[in-house]
Amino acid sequence: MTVNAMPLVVGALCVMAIFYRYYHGFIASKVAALDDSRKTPAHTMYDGQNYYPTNKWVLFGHHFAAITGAGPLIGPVLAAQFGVLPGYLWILIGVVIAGAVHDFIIFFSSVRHGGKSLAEIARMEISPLSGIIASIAILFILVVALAGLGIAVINALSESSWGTFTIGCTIPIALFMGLYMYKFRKGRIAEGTFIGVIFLILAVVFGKDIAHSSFAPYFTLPKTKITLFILIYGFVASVLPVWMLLCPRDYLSAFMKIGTIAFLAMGIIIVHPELKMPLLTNYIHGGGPIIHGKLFPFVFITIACGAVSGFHALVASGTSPKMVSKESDIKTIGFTAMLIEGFIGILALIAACSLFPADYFAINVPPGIFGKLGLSVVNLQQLSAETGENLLGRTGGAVSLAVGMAQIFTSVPGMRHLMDYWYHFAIMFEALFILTTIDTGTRVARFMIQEFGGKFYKPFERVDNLPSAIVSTALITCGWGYFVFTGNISTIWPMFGTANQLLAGIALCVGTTVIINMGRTKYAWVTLVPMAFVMATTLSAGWMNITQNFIPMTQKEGFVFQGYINSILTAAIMICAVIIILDSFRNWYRSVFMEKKEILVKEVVSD
Amino acid sequence: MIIVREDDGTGGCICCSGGMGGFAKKEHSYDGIRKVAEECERLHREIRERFGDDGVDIIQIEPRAYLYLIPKVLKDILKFNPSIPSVIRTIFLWYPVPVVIVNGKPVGTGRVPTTDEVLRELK
Repeated sequence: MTVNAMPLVVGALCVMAIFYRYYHGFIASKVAALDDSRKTPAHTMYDGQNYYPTNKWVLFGHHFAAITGAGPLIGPVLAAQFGVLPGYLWILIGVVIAGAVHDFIIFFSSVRHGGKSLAEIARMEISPLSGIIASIAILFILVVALAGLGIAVINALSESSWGTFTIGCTIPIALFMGLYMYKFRKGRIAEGTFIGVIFLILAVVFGKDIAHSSFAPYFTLPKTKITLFILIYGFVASVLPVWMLLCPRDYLSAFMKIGTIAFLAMGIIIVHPELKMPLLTNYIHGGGPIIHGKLFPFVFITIACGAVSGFHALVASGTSPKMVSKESDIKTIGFTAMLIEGFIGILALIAACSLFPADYFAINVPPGIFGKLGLSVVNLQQLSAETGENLLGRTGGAVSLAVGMAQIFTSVPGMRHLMDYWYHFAIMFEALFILTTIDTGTRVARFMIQEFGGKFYKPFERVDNLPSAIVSTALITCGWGYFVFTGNISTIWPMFGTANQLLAGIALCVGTTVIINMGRTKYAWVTLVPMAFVMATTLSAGWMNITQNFIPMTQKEGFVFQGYINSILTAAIMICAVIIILDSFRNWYRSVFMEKKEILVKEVVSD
Repeated sequence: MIIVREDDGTGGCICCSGGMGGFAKKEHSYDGIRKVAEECERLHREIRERFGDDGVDIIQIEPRAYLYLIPKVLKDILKFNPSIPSVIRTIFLWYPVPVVIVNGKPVGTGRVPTTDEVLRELK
């Protein structure tokens, strides 16, 4: 049985609107008891620079742009192996019950704690131990996330001269924009960005000519070479001054992101494609070629961003709480931004499910494994011809998403013959902000390593210390590079999902502690229920990953070290999460029972 | 009054990396952007002290927030009727950042204007 995309889109919007109006309204008014008479940090700590009251819609735009990246696009595409329904239901239920509540409660907690970060709130509300563990967990997650996103780009670019040329061009374009906006015509951001966008479009257009020219072999690179280039890029980009690559690319990706997502939403509404993927596939019982585990619990870690994402806690306790003008704005910003991210996840799922299942698996599974599935491709040859790429075995999710998006875009009247351009545009769009993530993530992880190293050797902490910067950047790059070189999307993505969801669990745990410490224990279930679910599914998935995937890997020749490393790191992050939960239980017990006892004792004494 | 300036804390695609956030303070290459932000802080503070919280509507935004900026600027243009050249510059974002847009008209483009310059426009 197949379904049309339109009822899914409309249904999702209706559910989100109902939950926003009633459930989220209840949380805002009863649980958090948002109070506009309380001054926010933007007023109490006002400095006009980091802390300043900001218009609700400006802050909403900033917060939304910050939480929306590659995660909500790639996860749903990979989870499409289970069929339309599991991914759709998890995104929809997850986002309204867990994801939006998670973002809101951390945002709210940070506002009530003077704009402090998640780790600082954990330290203040639970214990210093939990604060340290939260920091370690964040560092680990960062490394795995960079590997997971890196591999998606690598698989999209390998053996693709058009894609490599286009993405390669984004580096000199960003460098030119950086020089233009910050040196030659200082401050001309709009001008620089406009020129950058034009150059980007030209890079997509002329990529086709490159692919058919004598230059093609120079850009047709195997996976190992692309991986090496991405690693070198990550290393260099994260030590370069921000104005050279990071800032200009940020402008490019911000505008591209808004434009492309809006266009995809319009495309789906205009085209309302028939979804070829069945509602449920046989892989719900396990043995899937992309994600090896069963639907439960693996769908819940495959789709992280889009349903609930721990990374959002870092944004919600970062810049946004320092700028929120009044408490009631937290409701609009915290809940709505996440609901829209969930909606984007649904759009990505629809794009992937609009492909024929055999074509979808042919793209997302290595050819050797696809041969054993007993499926015959339907449109793959035609799609390959139209996109100008060999689409067989292009694992990682990015390629099937790009094909799905291109298919929807070309179904819009007047776009019929532009499949190859749309495909490469979609690849460029995905790679653009994945590369920005690699740049930022490597830089942030470097700072964290330097901070940690500074506890043992003080000069190591100084970020302007070149040897220290190089050593720490090399450590981080080697860290995520190791996973990319030795793993594949089937091993890395579940690790990323596990790590991300455990961070979400930790954040929900912190949120529950804040609610209890506020004296609203009777409402603690709003975060306790999603926390229990997220922790239960993620710890189960982590355990299954270790016992069913990584430990058996240690029995295979050549995979012994990789098997042990993956097992140890997954176990380490699971232990971090369990320690924080136990620490929180202790804290909750003390807050709820011990304080009650103290009150009773006081009452007896006074009587 | 709309202050358009870059921000160090919002750098980088934050989803799946956490973004620069508080770590941006450690990055020396943000110094130029921070210096401008400090100047904007000074202006913001002085105007607020002069007019109080409700006297003037002060908004600080990033150049990226153009979706918000354009209707806001158009509204100001219709309300205060500034000169045609300044209207064109403002609508097409044809000015260097930082810029302070007062009643639909850019003041002190490419630098943070003095309080007196802003006051003159406000009056």
